[in-house]
Amino acid sequence: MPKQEYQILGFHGGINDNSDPKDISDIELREADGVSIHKIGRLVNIGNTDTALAGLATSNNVAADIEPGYGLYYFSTDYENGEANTPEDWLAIYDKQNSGRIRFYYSDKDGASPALSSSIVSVGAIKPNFYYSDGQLRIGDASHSQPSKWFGYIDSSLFWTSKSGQSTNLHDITRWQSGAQEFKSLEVLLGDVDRMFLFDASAAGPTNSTIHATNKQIVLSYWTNSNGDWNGNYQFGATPIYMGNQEGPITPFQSSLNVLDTVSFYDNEVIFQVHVSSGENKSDGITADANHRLGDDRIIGINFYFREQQDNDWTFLMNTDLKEGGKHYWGMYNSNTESTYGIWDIDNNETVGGTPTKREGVDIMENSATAATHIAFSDAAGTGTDWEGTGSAATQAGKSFSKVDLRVILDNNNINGFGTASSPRKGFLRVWGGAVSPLYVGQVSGDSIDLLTGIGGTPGTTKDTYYIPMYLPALGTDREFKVEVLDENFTVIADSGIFTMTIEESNKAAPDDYDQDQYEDIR
Amino acid sequence: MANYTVMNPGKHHLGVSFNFPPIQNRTYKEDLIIKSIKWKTSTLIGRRIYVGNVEIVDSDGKARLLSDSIFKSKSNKFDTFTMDRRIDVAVGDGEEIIRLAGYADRILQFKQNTLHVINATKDSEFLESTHKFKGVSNHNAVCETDYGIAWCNAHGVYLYNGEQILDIFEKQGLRSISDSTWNTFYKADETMIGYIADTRQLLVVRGVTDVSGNGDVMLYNMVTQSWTKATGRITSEDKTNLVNIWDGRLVFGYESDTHEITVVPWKVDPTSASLDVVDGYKVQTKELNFGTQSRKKVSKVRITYKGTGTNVNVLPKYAINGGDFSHSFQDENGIAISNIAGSANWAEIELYTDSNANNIRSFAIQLTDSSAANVVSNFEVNDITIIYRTKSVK
Repeated sequence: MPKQEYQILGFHGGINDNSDPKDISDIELREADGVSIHKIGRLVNIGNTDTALAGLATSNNVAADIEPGYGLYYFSTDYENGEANTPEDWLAIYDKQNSGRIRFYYSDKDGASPALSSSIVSVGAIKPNFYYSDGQLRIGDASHSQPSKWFGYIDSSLFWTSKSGQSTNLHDITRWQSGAQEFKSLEVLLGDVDRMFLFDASAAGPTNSTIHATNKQIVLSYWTNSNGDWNGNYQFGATPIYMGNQEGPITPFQSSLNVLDTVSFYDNEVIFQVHVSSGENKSDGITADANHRLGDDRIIGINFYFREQQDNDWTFLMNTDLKEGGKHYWGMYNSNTESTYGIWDIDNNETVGGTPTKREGVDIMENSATAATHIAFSDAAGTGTDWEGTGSAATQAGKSFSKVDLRVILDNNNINGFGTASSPRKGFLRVWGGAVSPLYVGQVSGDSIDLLTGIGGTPGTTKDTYYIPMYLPALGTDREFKVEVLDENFTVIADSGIFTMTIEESNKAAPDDYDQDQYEDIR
Repeated sequence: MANYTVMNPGKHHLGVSFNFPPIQNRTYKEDLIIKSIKWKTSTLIGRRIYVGNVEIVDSDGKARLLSDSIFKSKSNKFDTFTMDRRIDVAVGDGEEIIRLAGYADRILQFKQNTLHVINATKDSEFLESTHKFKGVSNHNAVCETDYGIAWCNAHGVYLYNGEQILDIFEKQGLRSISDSTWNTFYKADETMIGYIADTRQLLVVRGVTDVSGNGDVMLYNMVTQSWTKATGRITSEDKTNLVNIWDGRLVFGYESDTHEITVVPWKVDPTSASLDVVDGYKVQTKELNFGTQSRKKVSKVRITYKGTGTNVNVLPKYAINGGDFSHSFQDENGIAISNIAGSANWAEIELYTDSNANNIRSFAIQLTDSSAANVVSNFEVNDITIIYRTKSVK
């Protein structure tokens, strides 16, 4: 028989040591130690370990004692080690020594100097497990002996004071940070059970006797108006809101452990304002990168809850956003000097005909010095008598559906907390009693309703006069009229009191009602 | 002294008013709260994290170990776990959750002996299938690949591709790696597996503690569905887990000195001729009978190879009739070949047999590292040709 060639051209069948060596495929091998078959048609040597990562080589003497089988985790962030907002790749490394800690190696994605970060998370003796999402690394202990931790970059512009809050806010926290993964309650975060206060701010805001110089505190100020539906004894609680709108445990407002603060209301409207102590003697905000005032850099809000005294369940009241803060943002408050700021101040000595007035700095009467007078209506801006019916002085009647101007004089003696002459706080007037009632007025003849009165003269002393165009109501005896001053949130801060006038028949037609359909057709 | 606060709304004595208590608002579910949670394993699926084998502190402050339970976070809330988001698929079975892994919309819950596949397609997860003997002994025995989830245990190595579990010791229904090979290699609680993205290979490392032999590896090529292995290819020092880093490289750390770590990637191709030499090199072909059990004479073997250096430190031998590889090849002058000369380019070496290769029924070739030195790193074999003559049947 002639000689023959038998060729083995491929080896990519790899090891087959389970079948009889005669019965395996030509491309299989009985043994394949030290080789790799990832290149079809070739038998190449197997790989091995490469040069160590720069900065993590033997020569770098990186201290990190190994827990066998554990310790490495790769993740990427939007921020680099130097805190610039550029992507970075990281390797978390567990060091069993040094009381157990996680170290962080970064690849220096935009450069060529990978290194270990100075950031360290103390974790104790653990068997580390990790997960990463939304910019934060979580570190767990597979042996369940140590609490879970987190690590990440915090870029938090807290307490905006305007819509440009990224640059005009009161506290910036921009740093690598770590801590317990657990969402702690405010009671724990603030350091004691009595760091949350319910404060009756009807007469004045919290003072130095409430606001501590350095303690972490939350003060829920409240005051009331009449004509609301809060009735009963109420308790309040608060939860911290962490990044991702994640809610922590609730803590009741309490004066001491398990002694909950209770507030009684009776037919009240209740108004709330939130104070968070700054902990610093600074009027322009909190030092950048100072610790979060609620004890955890991840906190971005507070949820407030309430319940009637006998109830178990808490019902959501409101959320306070620690960043943007809602329509009116955040402001600084000096508890030593500003407790009465922003409270509409009437002249306590003001009398009418020798009787102390209850007009609260809102005067709608013709002669505020005389008791026997009538409501200050006129045909236009203080002149004209076409609106007048029979009678005079205190018995003056009006004619139904007459177009009139109501003179309103505002007199707020408090010049503090209502803005400046160049930028006063602006409110609204709510007029009751007209053909359209209530009537909300934000501007009169182009002039806004300034809560800081007397800007044209001496603020706090000079009175502001507005002529509110309106229609008198239909005929009737003792028709009631009242004007309220509302703040930016439409909360009543001053009230003229109720005055009456008889309205006689004028045979004028009532003004047309607002017609939604007609409006839509026109539009 | 002035004490300051920040106030909201941000104007003095400006508040948020409520005419009545908003009792229609949601209530705070205090009894569902989990105050803290410690977990053994986790996996991220979609915008939820699932943690398994947990110890929790509930709203009453009681600590509870739930080694069979999974808790899922609320969507987009990766630290928020509540009592109503607990998933139990098998409890009180004498096993605990070792590892969770996610692939597509399935959660693989590995216990010591059993694998549960949980369907997480919808809001409510449900047990899709249970697989006995597919559990794992340690969390590093599982890795994620772009083909699916791979893992190993005392019985073999497996791949879940989203539809079925494949025993990757089997090829076309036939097992290729023997029980004895795997049992010798595998160490319970230690053997770990990683994925080499560049070449789509699985690297199985024997052990993580500082014990001789724990640097042995097995390599599975997912493209060709075949295995090779190597002895002492990585350090046997204490090692971390295997992870893929930013560029896809598979890395691990080892204790390079007392309390010090060195982190090294796995390199697919050895490049340094001096440093990457291969110890324990051993390649054996099948037992060739050339298609017939007739007697034959093998006269010569020709190997096309390359590898730099004076010699590549490869010792060729052959076996006959299913025997040991005890027979040396000779050169054309009849001198026994104990090494192969190095060649930077493809070269052929002719290996002559002696009289032992006459009247044989089968023939096999072995290449090992020579006794004096390790095989050079860049040694490659392109093909092997056997010249033989079949003898007449008498």
